[in-house]
Amino acid sequence: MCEGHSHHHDQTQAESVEMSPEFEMSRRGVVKAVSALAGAAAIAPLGVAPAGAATRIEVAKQTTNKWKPSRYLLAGDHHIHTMHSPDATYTPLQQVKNAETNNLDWMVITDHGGTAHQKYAIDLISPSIAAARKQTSVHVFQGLEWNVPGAEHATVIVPPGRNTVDVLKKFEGMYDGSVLADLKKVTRATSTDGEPMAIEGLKWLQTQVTSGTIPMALMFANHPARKGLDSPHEVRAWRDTAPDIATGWEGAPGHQMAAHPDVQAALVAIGSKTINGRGYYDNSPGSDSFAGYAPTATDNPYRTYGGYDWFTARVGGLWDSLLAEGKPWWITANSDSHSIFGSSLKGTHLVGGVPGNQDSAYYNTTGSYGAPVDSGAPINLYGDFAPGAYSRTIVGVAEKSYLGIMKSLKAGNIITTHGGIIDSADVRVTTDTDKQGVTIGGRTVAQKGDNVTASITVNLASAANSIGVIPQLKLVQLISGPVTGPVTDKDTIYAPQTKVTETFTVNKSSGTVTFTYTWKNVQGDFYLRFRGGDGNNVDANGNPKMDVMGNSSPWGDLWFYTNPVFVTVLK
Amino acid sequence: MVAPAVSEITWIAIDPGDSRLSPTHIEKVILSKAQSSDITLNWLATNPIVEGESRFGFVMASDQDLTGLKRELLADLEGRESVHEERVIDSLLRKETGRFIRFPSDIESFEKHSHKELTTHTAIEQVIAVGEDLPEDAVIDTSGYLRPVLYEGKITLMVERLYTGEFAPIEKENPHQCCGGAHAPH
Repeated sequence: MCEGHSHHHDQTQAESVEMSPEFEMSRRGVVKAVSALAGAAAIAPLGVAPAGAATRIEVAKQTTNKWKPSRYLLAGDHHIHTMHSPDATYTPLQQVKNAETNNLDWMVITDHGGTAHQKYAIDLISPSIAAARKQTSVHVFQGLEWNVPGAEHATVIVPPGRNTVDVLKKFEGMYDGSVLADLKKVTRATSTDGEPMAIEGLKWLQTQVTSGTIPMALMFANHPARKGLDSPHEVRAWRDTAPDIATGWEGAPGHQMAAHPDVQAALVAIGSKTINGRGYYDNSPGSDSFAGYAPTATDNPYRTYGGYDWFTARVGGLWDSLLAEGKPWWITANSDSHSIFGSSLKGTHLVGGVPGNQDSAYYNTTGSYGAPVDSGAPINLYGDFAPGAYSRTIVGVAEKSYLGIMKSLKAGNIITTHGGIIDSADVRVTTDTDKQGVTIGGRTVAQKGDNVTASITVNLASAANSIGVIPQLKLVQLISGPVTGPVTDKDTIYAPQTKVTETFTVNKSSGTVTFTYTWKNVQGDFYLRFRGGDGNNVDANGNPKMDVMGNSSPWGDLWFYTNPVFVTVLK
Repeated sequence: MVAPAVSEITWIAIDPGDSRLSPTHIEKVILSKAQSSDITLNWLATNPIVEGESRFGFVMASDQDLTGLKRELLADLEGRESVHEERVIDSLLRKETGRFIRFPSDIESFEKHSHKELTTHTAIEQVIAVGEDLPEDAVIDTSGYLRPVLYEGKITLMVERLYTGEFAPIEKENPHQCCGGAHAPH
């Protein structure tokens, strides 16, 4: 909320029935909006009606992600492993078919970077991916899970093309932290002396784009808080060095089944003392962790909260701290699928015969485990979902193509959902100056004194999720805070002025629901975002609680998050 | 129990030479070397040598003479007489930063304890449950692994609730290591 600004909100749930847009379900089960959405804000005819000529130019220049009545919503997952990772089980085609079964429109195969991957696996997986594309309508990107030197992992996405494999292979050979550690160019893959190599790697990728070798490349940091490795200054350095490439992070990590009671029971049954955290978030500060993330009496950044990474789940936390600088940084939600809970398939090179415990010594000389075999019974030790079975990154795209999807990811037109909590959501933010308004990931403009209205229309869950339940959305939160500009201390973690501005209660169980909120007489730049959930496992302030070790069913609390919209007040 | 104040102890510090070695590996080396030399370490703690660098110093104290152990450890770890020795010890004495691997205790074998047992019979000064108040009757299942840290100037064991309803230290002995088959149970 903006300090010193008067505001009021206007809950229009009752009105939303007659104002609901028409939606049609596409073949892939995603929703395509086909008619203009009506919100509480006045609907201007397409074409902006700003106050003056100078403003009209400013509006045209400064707005991004203009709200449009029609777009494709494509669900995807940018973090998926295959038997070409040292710790994963399935063939590339099996994972593609898993994504297809779960109605994903796009996916990125991201096997772990490393010496054996760079030397053997890329050449094995590239033809497999090319062949799989011919057997599916899913857009199958070839990517990499980059060991970011000095930090955590990150998805790197390059669109299919003549130079894709060559660029990925060179990049990994020169800039993967694990490769660099093997070459003794850095102390460890995650040691801080590698940090400059991460920057060099991003610059190199940028050069591949500017030289026309590849049309585009994106980087999303994966499970960013898991081990406390992604310090605030590193994230800011990636973003500021390569704004066209370093795009965001996983707001919610994969491995969401890991702390399910059934997994815990399976561990106990084999005599294991392991207790999993949700997302395998069970670490504590180590030698390469950022000291500022040390657990406190109130927060443990090394755990998930409602299935989301602490950087994103904590209101006024690191994500908000980045957004409060007024710069884009987007969130996604993915499966990190290695070995799927309940799957009967297991690898053929296992340490101690334990499913999931792949023998990396074998992988290191081959770059592949070969296809898994059927064990004849469901394996409950596995902590992952199939792509699309739980986590979905839903992108609003103008163009159904590989580049179209990447452009929309870059533009931040993304919402994330868990367990099918909603089908989709449409956000529109209008101002007195920009009456058409902008949508998620966008930037609108206002003049001092304008009213600014944010509306969210949620398409409530219309179909059973992968455990056969139609989840019920109970609450939607509007979160906002002032844009305070670039931080002086690059290790700033908090944005204390960002707050839950309003919590809306959902009183219906199907169809659509619209909520609006108006800031009156705005004086300064700010941003806003939404999230919502089933109301389970929240604290007194409506925030998700820390997930309990060994007892966090991913179905026990479901959330969706939208990416933000920025509001720039013209000076 | 009344533990001798940390300021009343003679400390030594070492600075491992091979920074590729992780602190958890080094602490195992130190514990095993002490054991084979029949030395009981009253205190063994680790803390960053320089903030922001991935290098850790180790600080230890014993009723026994540590000169020989120190010499052997320096050789084994290709370490050196720590140039940061004073600083590492000083930071610990001032109770600024530190993570304790060994600390004075009347409890021979750690299992399940109340927080009062831990604060009465060991050098742990407080037990904090992250994000909630620790119930008076909380059972803390240590599984024999405790690594309290300095927090708010006190030797603090941070715990969290488990699926069993009991509590456990937030630092696990064997957390998941990604990649290379380590997703498996231990």
